[in-house]
Amino acid sequence: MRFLLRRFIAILATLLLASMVVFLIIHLVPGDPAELLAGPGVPKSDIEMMRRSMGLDQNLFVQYGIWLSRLLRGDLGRSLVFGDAILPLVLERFLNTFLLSLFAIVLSVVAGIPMGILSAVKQNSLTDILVMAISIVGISMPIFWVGLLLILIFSVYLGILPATGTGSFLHLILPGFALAGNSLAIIARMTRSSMLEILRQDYIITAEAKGLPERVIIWKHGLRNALIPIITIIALQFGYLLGGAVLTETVFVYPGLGRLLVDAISRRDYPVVQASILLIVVLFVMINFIVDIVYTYLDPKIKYER
Amino acid sequence: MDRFRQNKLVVVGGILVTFFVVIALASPLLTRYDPAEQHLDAVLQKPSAKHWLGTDELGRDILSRIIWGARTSLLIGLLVIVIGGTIGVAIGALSGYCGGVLDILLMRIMDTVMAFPTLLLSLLFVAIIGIGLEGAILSVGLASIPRFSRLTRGSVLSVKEAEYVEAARVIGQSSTKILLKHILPNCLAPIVVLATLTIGNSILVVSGLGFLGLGAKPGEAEWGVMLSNARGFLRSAPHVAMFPGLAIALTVLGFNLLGDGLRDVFDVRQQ
Repeated sequence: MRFLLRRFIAILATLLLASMVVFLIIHLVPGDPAELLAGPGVPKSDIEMMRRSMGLDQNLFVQYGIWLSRLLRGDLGRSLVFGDAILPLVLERFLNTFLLSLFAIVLSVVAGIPMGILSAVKQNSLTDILVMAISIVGISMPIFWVGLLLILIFSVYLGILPATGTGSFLHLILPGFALAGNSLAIIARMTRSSMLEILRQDYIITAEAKGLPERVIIWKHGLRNALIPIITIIALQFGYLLGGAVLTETVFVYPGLGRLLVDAISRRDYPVVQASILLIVVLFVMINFIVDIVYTYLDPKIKYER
Repeated sequence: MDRFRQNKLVVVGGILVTFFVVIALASPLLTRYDPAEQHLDAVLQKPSAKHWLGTDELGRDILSRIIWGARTSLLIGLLVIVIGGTIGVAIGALSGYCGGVLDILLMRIMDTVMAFPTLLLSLLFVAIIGIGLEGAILSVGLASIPRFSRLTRGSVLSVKEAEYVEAARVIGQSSTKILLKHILPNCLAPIVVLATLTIGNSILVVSGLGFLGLGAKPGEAEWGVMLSNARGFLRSAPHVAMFPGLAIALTVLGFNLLGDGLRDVFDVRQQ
């Protein structure tokens, strides 16, 4: 419990610092914050009024305080381009990204773990070399190119899956596979190296000597003990997918959070930029915290450390 | 040297990397067409003897654009590790060597920065610095600092206690000299591995930013931008989307293989 409490405090500190970084965006961008927030073509007098009403004439610390207190009440401001409240917009887009990332992570776990196990059990065999080759190629391929290739094969030539849009499960398949490739490769590699480590342990040799069936040794004695680093990498990958789905979303014209962020950057819609980044960071940090909690269940040793 | 030659990953990766480096250095000699030269009477042509990889939507020779693009991509990778590597190693070395409050402070900041996924961090910097290739390179470079500093700090901490460092201190060498001459050279192997992998990854990320329209300008011969343009012609001219993607994949694969191989050769424990 003390370990988790310490981690929780560390996470709060991280989030606080991260919120400062995100807050500072508007002040680090060249130009006057009030003018940036007012948008183009707004008369000088209105800008001055806005400066005062938003507290932009106060010093930075006061401004941060105002910004943070509004943030904590769920007020993320309004989009400069659309004029809409940001919170519902961001949440709607986030839900799309979450669905896509969830589908992709399930795909990469379901394929990646067995690939890694197979590779480790048959170390240095042709299967092993093949799996490792596939995974390093998978890590090296640009995700947006994989997406284009998938569209080319399954939509243009075979015509069996929709290339763009949302609305049904069919629309998730191509972007899901494109997004999964990278994580699949990383999870397979991690599973392999973690399993190799475990399979060398004495208790595995004992289990073999006892004459337990190979299936039991691999899945029960092997995988269960190799699981901690694998779970870490899965959680981390899920976080990366949430933040990194932007390329996939662009290729498949999928209305996700990443796409919203990139559009906002291009349009200089800074409140939306701030909100999207903050949301992704909060999620990423939360996921890491959940991993810490899962750890303490899986490995009792951690409770006593530090 | 034999250790390097015996490692297949190093050999294959090295060949791929060398191939692209040679192409990048010799691009003016290897190309028949100017990469920006438009032939509006010959747009979206399939590969032929005249244009080995065909032409794009403005009739520009794709092979020439890919060869010139190699220059851009390798320069991107190099600049990113110059920015991220130098600053990151400096922070890490300082943090590990000095310890104390400075160490806690610097690492707390690095941990915060690492709370952002890399692509997101790059996007954040692009939002501040502005859209364009320079901005993209600087952003990805800055985003790579924490990894270098974390790694360097760890190595410095383990080397710091070595006897030869103790000996140098006893004979009265200055801290700067000890750090630069005795500690850092012995931390080099993992840093070289990380740098190699970082080059590959930054080529991937910066071309991704180009693809998103946040990196190189639309007309430039940059692989990510070329792929972004090709999206519009996926049905009529799929080959236009083929080759730039293949070029990115092969270059990145080269650096990844080389990095993995070097890790084996140097026997750096996987983190």
